[in-house]
Amino acid sequence: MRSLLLSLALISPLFAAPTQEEFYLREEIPLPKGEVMEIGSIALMPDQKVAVTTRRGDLWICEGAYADDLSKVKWTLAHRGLHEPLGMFYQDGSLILTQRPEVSKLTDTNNDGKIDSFETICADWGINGDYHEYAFGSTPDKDGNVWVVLCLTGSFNANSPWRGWCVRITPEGEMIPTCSGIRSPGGIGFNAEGDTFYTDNQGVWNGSSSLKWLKPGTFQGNPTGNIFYPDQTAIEPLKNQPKDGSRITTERERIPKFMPPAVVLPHGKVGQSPTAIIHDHTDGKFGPFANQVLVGEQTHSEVQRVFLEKVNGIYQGAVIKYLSGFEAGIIPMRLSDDGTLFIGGSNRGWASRGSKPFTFERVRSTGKTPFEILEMRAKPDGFELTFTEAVDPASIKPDSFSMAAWTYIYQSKYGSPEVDQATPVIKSATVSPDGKSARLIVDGLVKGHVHHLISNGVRSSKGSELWHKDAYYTLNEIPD
Amino acid sequence: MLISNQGHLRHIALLFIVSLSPLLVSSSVAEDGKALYTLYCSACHAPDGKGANNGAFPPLAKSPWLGGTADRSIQIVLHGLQGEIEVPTDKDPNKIYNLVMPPQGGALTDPQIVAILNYVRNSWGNKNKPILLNEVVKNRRATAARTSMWQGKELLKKYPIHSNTPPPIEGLISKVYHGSWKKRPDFSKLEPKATYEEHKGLISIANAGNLKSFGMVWEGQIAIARKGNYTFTLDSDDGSAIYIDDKLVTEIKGLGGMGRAKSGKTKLSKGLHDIRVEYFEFSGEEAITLAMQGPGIKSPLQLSAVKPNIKKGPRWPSIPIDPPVNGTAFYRGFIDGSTPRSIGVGYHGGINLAFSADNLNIELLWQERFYDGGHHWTGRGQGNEPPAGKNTVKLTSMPVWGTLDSATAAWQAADQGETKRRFRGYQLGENDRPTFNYEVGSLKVSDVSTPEFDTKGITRTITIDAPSSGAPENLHLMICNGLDIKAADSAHTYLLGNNMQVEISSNSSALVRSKELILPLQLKPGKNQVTLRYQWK
Repeated sequence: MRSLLLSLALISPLFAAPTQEEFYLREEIPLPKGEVMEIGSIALMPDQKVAVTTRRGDLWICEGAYADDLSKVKWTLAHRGLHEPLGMFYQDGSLILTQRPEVSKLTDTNNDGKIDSFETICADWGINGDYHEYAFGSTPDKDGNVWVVLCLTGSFNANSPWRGWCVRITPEGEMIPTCSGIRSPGGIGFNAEGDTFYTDNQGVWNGSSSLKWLKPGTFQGNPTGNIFYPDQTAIEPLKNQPKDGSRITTERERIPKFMPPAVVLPHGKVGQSPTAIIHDHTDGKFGPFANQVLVGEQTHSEVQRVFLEKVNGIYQGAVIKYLSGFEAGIIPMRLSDDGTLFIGGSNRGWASRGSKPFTFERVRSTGKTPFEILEMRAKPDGFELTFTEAVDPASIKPDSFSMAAWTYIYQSKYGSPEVDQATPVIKSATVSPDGKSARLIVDGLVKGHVHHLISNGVRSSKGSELWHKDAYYTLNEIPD
Repeated sequence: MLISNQGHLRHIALLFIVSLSPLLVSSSVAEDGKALYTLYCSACHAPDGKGANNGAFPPLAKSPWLGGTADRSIQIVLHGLQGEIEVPTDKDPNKIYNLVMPPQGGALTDPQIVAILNYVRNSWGNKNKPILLNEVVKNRRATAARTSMWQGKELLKKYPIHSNTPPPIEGLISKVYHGSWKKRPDFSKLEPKATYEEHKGLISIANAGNLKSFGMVWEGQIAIARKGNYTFTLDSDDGSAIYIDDKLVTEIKGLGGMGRAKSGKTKLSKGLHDIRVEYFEFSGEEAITLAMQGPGIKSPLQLSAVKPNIKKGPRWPSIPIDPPVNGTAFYRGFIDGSTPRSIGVGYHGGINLAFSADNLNIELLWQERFYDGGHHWTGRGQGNEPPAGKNTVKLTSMPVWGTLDSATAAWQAADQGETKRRFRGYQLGENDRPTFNYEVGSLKVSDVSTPEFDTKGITRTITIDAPSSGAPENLHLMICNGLDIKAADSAHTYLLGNNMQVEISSNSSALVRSKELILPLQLKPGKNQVTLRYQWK
């Protein structure tokens, strides 16, 4: 009772709930009139040009997307007739695209603004005409390889070679099968350390959508594509086959190569269809979340923020909601060095909360720092939180927090309910001397579970509540 | 004493609430259908049940799919639904959707499904009796072995949608006449062999039983709610006629099959009107359909037991892709008749081709319109789409670089080692015309076509760069397979099927086999050229 009264008292009318507009400016970038711009990939080019491709297969170059006055943007059509590109970057005067059937290098050799050279770098994976056999491609890794994740046929079957796999394409065009176990990806990218991640969507063998680490040689959980292990030699096939109706934590004991999702994006609660992956490399130009991973969300038209850490050699961490209100379902994202986030989207075939059929938008920081959980780290006996601003020490106490935990059935059925619910108890909460972090001692951590921390009572030293109070930490490993 | 008692009671009450609260929370969650719907369903079906993005996704509000038996709704949620379905929307009474609803049976618990369906089946104008937990449990058990999503047609066959409106034709009776006629007889002069009451109020030939040749007349009344012009559409095998208030509205004369539908209009006042339908069957198949359209009738009202095949709007809008003036259009989707990696090229002037990057050949040639993107650019875009134009010729449907050990040996497609095929892309030249580049083993090939509009064809030049070490032995090029091939009158020219010919310029002579035209390649180190001139006849 006392805590209820206290927390009621804390919701003082002096402090309105924080809103996105205080911290970030979201703007729609005008599109060429009469064109259907269902944007599937974005590449940042020199001289502040931005290239976009559409699901219909057009390539456009936008000038003026960085300017204060967006009404003056200029669009140039560089080509029509590509095959659903879902990955693009600029390199040495060319654009490297991951199209549905291939990775290709597109060049305007005579500088007339039109692409006139289409060089196929690699087309070694299979497509059979099924609409769902999408291919999402990354920017180059440190060795120049493009990572491509290959969706299952119809999102259920492996009816064409290398469906359900991640492959790397070397600059010379060689295809290196890298990970099995993929279902239906929505995007691929790197964290600040240069490790590769992709998003996989809720469905068969995926209880919830999640962000997964593509450590070469690992198995990502969906066994459908495992039929292609014999077609390569670098990776040993799995010795044990996954058991239907199990738990990922249990299966990891049986299948050492099983890489659990780094961060589960709880279905419905956080999103329904994760897409693009980037990290904030701008060192403060896009707000206080330097080096953290940003994940696009198609259905909810949002961007989520992910804090990652490695425990016992495995990535895990927390997802926290971040940006919202986009006009269509987000597919690609790119963040420029100056801190401009570009997002493109479409909702054709898959609905989104943003109700426009397609969109191109940019987001910039207003310079005001939101009061947020910056990091959430696992500890042997609980969690450590850091904040973007100093907290009011009085607000760091067990009553300010609550926690729930659950996991999902690892099964061949589509999705999973939340199961094995647990209620970890926050026994103590202590604030650091600088007021920027808090240590939670938690009873009843469960290995493998999503731990949902709700921080309703936390206040900044200025009295502000958190912009986002919910954090979802996937505890693959409990640190020693 | 009293005070302490009250305190004690309060303490007990508090304990009671605290100890029960997890239960209360979970049951209230399980029963909050609206919250669950918002969380799991509303992204596609929209918070107002009208289908997201102005009905781009199927509406649930007033959807006949939710009515009647609960099993249909439960099965859709448990196992998902795909394939074409028809759902009436505010704008289109026959709207066709071809999307995918993923199965939710693995993600949602039975109580959650009950809560969601009871919310959906009783919101936005829907009114249905509540679903009980037991019904979901039973459905889940009965279809536990099912691993695939329902196809729309399959589901409707198992759980048909019945309309619960009153019979369309009131007081309908049918009379069956025995006889054999080649045109509609004057039934008023004939004696019926049998008379039936048609309680469903639908025109049906079921009561003719196994008769091979017969006549039928139906009589009843239709209720008209609003005065205005009404259209009756009749189709039959063989002939038929419809009379309203004894006035002929439309007629299908003589013998013939279905697909000869005729429509007639008549002005009707509010109230009951007499309807009479006459029909005769001479031999073979038999059927009759009738539909009515008019003021306030959104979807054509079915008056026959067999559903009328009324011409519907296109499944997707037409989005023509045309080459720009003095330019070239490209399409890389799934072109029907070629392979998934085919590249459509539309030359300005109405000559088009599909180059297969899988098989390394022009597989299709066609004239006039290039392509329509509407199929692939609407919804998820499932399936292949054929070229938009006409006179399509399919030249080959296999890898065209291969080896032949002798003139009668089986064709061996180039694939491995020194004949591995590798598509390398294309460069655009004048008027954006593409030159395709590919490799066959150590051979580097460029392949460019020039449309010849006056002669209605293309000239294709294949340049093969062979290394000094020489080309693979027995290398051949399949010019055409699958069509009848005949040598034409002029030299090195062959007829490919009925409306195409090819003239081959090469240093070797082509080999004609059963439905195969094969060119042996005698390659020298350096550049070699083969020219193929394709022309429509």
